[in-house]
Amino acid sequence: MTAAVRDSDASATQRTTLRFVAGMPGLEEYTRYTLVGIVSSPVYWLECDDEPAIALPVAAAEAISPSYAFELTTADAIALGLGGARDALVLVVLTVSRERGGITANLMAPIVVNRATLAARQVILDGNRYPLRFPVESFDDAADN
Amino acid sequence: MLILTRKPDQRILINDDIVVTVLAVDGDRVKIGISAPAEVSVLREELQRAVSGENRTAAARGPERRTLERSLLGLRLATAAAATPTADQGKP
Repeated sequence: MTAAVRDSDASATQRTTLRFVAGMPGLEEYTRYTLVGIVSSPVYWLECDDEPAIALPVAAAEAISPSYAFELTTADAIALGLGGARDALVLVVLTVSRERGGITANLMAPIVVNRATLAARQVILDGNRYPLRFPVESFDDAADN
Repeated sequence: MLILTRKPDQRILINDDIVVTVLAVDGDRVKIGISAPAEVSVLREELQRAVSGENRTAAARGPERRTLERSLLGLRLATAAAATPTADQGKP
């Protein structure tokens, strides 16, 4: 499922290719991405295979919010071929913004991955339950550490 | 775009298996009911638009990536004390 690739620091970096069943909102043309680990970090880069200049920072949802839970719609479960939660990996997109003064996580639209097939989809949760910009870290906090 | 005018309780049929019902009209708000097969996705458009904007902001393009990575490297995550999200944070 994953292949270790040596980078210039001679430490192995996991690379996993995901196949999005539909392009993500705002990036509709792209459906193939590779999940690349950042050494010593819980954050990954979701690198766009067809447009190498584009990459999204993502993290495991449970690392951002341990109590995060939602119901996948039948439409999305069918699209991903998912029979149950244990087959799913949930990632959230991080936004790093100087203008906003920190890092936020998009809990409104998680990326759900079928662990077995590596099919993926960014699903949008209706119902106002989770925010588009969940505060993860402010740059002021970071500066104090 | 097909434009139709409906009164409350009137319906629109789409594709043999989707039914849109105008349930009520109250001032400038319309309550709409949608019956569709489970595999058909139904979503408020402004949410799609908000996610689209946020994805574009989040995407690092080219040389930005090194800068963003520096901000991300120090991130400490997954502590038991991590805040539980509340509905009034950062609503679009």
